[in-house]
Amino acid sequence: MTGIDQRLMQLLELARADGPPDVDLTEAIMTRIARTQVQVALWERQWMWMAGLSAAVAAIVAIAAIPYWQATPDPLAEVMEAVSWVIQ
Amino acid sequence: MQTAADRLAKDRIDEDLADVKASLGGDPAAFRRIVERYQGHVCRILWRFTRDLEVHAELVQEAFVQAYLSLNGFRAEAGLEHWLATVATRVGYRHWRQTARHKALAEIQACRQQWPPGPVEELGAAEAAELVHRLLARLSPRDRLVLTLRYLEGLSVQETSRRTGWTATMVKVQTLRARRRLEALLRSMEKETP
Repeated sequence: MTGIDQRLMQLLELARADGPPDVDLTEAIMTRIARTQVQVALWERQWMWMAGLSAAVAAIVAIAAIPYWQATPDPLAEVMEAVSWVIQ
Repeated sequence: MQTAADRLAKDRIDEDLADVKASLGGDPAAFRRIVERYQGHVCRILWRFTRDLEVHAELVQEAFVQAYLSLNGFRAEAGLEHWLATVATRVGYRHWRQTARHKALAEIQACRQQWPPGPVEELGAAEAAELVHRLLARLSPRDRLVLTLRYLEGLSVQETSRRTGWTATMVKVQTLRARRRLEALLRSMEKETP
């Protein structure tokens, strides 16, 4: 072991004995958790509203599109006719 | 035959599991009991990551919030103490990574004034810890983490591997490299000192 190595190991050994100051953080932790819970709940509610709104918009668009869709001739119909003619 | 220590450990595990279950069911008193039981343990771990009292308190709170939010992911076989230690280590490591760039210069200056420390035996534990903290701050967060866990926390290779999620081989290699880098750093600092 070199001088530096030895000194470093001694230093680390000594430093290992050092501990944190004695403080009670229970209240601060519980307050922060309660605050986080509120934030998460708000965030979830926002997402639920957005999801609901998107679903409602999609349903309205789908309902509005039904008559147009029914009135439009099937774009594949011509292709299918040609294919069945070739097969025959 | 079951010893008193085994019985005590089993009681603690049962108590932990009951409190985790109750916390998941929305009982804040149960999580408070977990906080009270393991606060000292988490505080001790995070004291290795910062020596600033305010930042330390912030990190401890963050660790418990993270633990609370990911309580669903807790697996009983790991043990709550070990699981919380892993969460705390992750929070501390993230703190190092975020502050590494800003603090490096200040730590280098402070460190130069303190190394070489003279006879190590004359230092107190807090002084030694302060000096080690500054020395390690000059390394990358990865090197710093492995040296902190192995030499300050006193964890074995296996325990470090479990705590970090790295393989045992990776822990060994990383420890060796980090030690070499730290020694090289100290050597260069000794040369610089008039």
